[in-house]
Amino acid sequence: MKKVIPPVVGLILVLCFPLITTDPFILSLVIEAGVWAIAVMGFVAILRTGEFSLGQAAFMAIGGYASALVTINLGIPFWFGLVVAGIAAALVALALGVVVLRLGGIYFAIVTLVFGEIVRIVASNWQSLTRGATGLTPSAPSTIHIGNITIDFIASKVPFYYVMVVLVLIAAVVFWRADRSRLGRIFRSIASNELLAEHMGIHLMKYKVIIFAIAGFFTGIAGAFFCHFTLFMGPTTFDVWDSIMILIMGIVGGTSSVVLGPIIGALVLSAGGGYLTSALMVGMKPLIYGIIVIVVVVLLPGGLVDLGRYISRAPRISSMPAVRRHKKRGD
Amino acid sequence: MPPVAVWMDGLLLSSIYILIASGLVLVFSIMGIVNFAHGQLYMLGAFLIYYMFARAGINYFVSLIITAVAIGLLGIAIERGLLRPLAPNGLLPPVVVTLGLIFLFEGIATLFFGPAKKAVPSAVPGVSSIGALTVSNEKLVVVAIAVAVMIGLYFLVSHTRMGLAMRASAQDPYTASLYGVRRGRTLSQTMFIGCALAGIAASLMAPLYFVDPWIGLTPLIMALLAIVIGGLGSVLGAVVGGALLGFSGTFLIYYLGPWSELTAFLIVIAVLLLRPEGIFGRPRA
Amino acid sequence: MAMPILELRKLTKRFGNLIALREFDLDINQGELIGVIGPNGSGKTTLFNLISGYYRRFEGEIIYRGKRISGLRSDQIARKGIARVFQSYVLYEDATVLENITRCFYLICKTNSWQSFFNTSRYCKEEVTQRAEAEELLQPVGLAEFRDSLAGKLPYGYCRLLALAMALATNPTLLLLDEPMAGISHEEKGLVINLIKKLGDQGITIMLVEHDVKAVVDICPRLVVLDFGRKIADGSPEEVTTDRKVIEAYLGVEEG
Repeated sequence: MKKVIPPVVGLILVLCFPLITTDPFILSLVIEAGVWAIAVMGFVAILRTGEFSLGQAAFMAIGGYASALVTINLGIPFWFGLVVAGIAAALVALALGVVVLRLGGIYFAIVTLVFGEIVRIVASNWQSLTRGATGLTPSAPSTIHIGNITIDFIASKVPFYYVMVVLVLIAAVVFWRADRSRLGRIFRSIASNELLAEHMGIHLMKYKVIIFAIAGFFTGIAGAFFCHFTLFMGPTTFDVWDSIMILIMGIVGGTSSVVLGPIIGALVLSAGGGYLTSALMVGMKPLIYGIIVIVVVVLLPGGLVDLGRYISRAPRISSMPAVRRHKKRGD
Repeated sequence: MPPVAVWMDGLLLSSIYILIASGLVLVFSIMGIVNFAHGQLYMLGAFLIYYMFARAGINYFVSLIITAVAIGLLGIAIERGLLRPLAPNGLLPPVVVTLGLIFLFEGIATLFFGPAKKAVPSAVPGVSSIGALTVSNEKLVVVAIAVAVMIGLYFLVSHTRMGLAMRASAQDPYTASLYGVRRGRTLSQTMFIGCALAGIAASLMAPLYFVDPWIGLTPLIMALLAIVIGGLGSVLGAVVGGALLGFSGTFLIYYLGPWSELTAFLIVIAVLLLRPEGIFGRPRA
Repeated sequence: MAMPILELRKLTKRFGNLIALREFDLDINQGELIGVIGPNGSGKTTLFNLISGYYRRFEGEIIYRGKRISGLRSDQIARKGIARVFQSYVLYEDATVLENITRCFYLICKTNSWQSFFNTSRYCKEEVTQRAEAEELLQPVGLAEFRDSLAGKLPYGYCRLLALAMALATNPTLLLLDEPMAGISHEEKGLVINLIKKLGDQGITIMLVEHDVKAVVDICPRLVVLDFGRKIADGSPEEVTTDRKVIEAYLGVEEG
């Protein structure tokens, strides 16, 4: 029973949050943090197989464009747009993963980074589809009437907040279950010792591609949700900087847990950073982010999620997952 | 055949890509990590040249040398202060630190130098005529310096004791240390040279473009593309990759317009599909 | 006569100009316990690297139970029932000893990933039985009391024993042991020899690469001798140890 209490209390607090404040500025920050949390969960899940992706924002862009295009051009409702976004991003991840995950290690990081640029260039130049830098203007979900209750996405940010909570919950449950199930054991085996895992019968590519595609699916949905929330989708909505931010949020939050670390990382850096933006001089924010990253890596390799254990001086169970150098074999 | 001006621009772009990519690849081959802040060092170098040459009026070539040394020393500081202590913790922590440095340097530049675009005047004004062909002196100087630097680098790596230590350390750090290579010193030397190359590239490029805190990203990405094409860990590969990207970039802009940006990436994808280890990379199983 | 379980046909592996293995032929019958010996660098480990799929580019053919397995990936080969114990320190170092064993049950799980994802009762039951099985596997190698320590912190000898237990967890038909007795203590050696004999009695086919000729002569009824990538002898320990070529190449040097 004791294990159930913290998440339930946490969930109740999260659900009651709009009762405390309906300030659109605060709510927007939290909603955006939720979007990033989903993307970071995907990043961390991939990282825990020993590969680090520097192109996660590209999947948000693909999801965003997919959803914006189908909702605008085909008139499909927002909700199906999200699903289309997830599937589109997952398919691209699948194709990219099959090619790039063979390489692994630093190659994977470089190529995913480069992939983010490819998406940006295609989005800027394919004027007829994406309207280039002008961008697309996806609309908010239409008002829902259930009996006497009216849910209006335009008048208030609260409905968006709950949609975000549901999306984060779904992603969290999927990533958490995957981590706790045999899949998680396989991922840890691969991260720990690829050679041994392969000789024990694990098809490395299969599982790496699976987690890459799952992460792509949720990251795509996150991107789609974000663009319907901000009502804009352009080539630089999600760019290389955002991919790096996703990595930073993951590391700062802590990679020893697939769910809590990303949520903490996203809340601290995205919502916290956003809250401070107006108070800071131009240039202060990247400076602070840079310092936070370096301090965390040097002093607290387990991330903020590890802070409790660090203070209580309990043995730390984990720091960062092992990431491979690229393999060297004779032939 | 594209006009000669296009060839000249290809040569120019190639020189810059080669300088940045070979610095990056040199550091990678010895330390085993990609310094993602390499582009940011380039950016800081560009600001240095702006303040020394354009603002303080110091001679361009003196500024260039000071910039190269300063950026090289900054590289040593990064290596000694951050990367070396983190190296025993695996590959991820040092790489994440270099990613964090991107933000740190970008923040510092924005805060202290301001976000506005700055122009650096031409260091060597005027044009030269070679036969029917007119080329700006600036571009000639850039290419000449880049070629000289690359030849110097080649001699440094292949004909000096220091270069021998570097090559030994790149192949097998442990065995090299048994044979008396002081790894720490080799790491610092490598980092100095690699980062100084970024400083030189920035000094050469600054008068031709503008300077702002975000100019580091494109060179970083092009350099990464060049080393993926050429093969991670091979300086020769970086040279070939850089030249391929430089020339294809300018030629295709001439023929294709903005879409040409994509061709660099298509080359990379083709290389990855056909020869994943890169043109000069070691084959893997 | 029964079909051999593993047929190696003209295996040749080159590294540049160096030929690590040269036209190597061998038939291994079901249930055989076969020792492969040879001086350092004679191609013993290369042979295992070819069989287990670590190297996928080489000349010749490997036929396992009548089917060609050369060119397959390591995981496909493992799936067919060939388990390999590495010569060096190959473990999941960041996991506990018990977790190392459970990770090796991957191939023999009866529930699928979906059942595991939804945490069905069948999956939970299987987890419980697997834990028990893992503890059982640790008994014969004497590691039961270390089940909760990190594998990376074990002394070298224990690592070798753990690696052996892990290979057994996959329930193999053919076991490739790469120098299981190198660098371990006398008592541990006794443990390994007993274990190998017991596995042989259970009908598992075992290929044993070993540097310690004395130990191999004691336990293997059949020996193959490699020198400079060539097979120079194949027969009973008596035949092999009296073979002039073998004495010249290996035993002669060894015995001074």
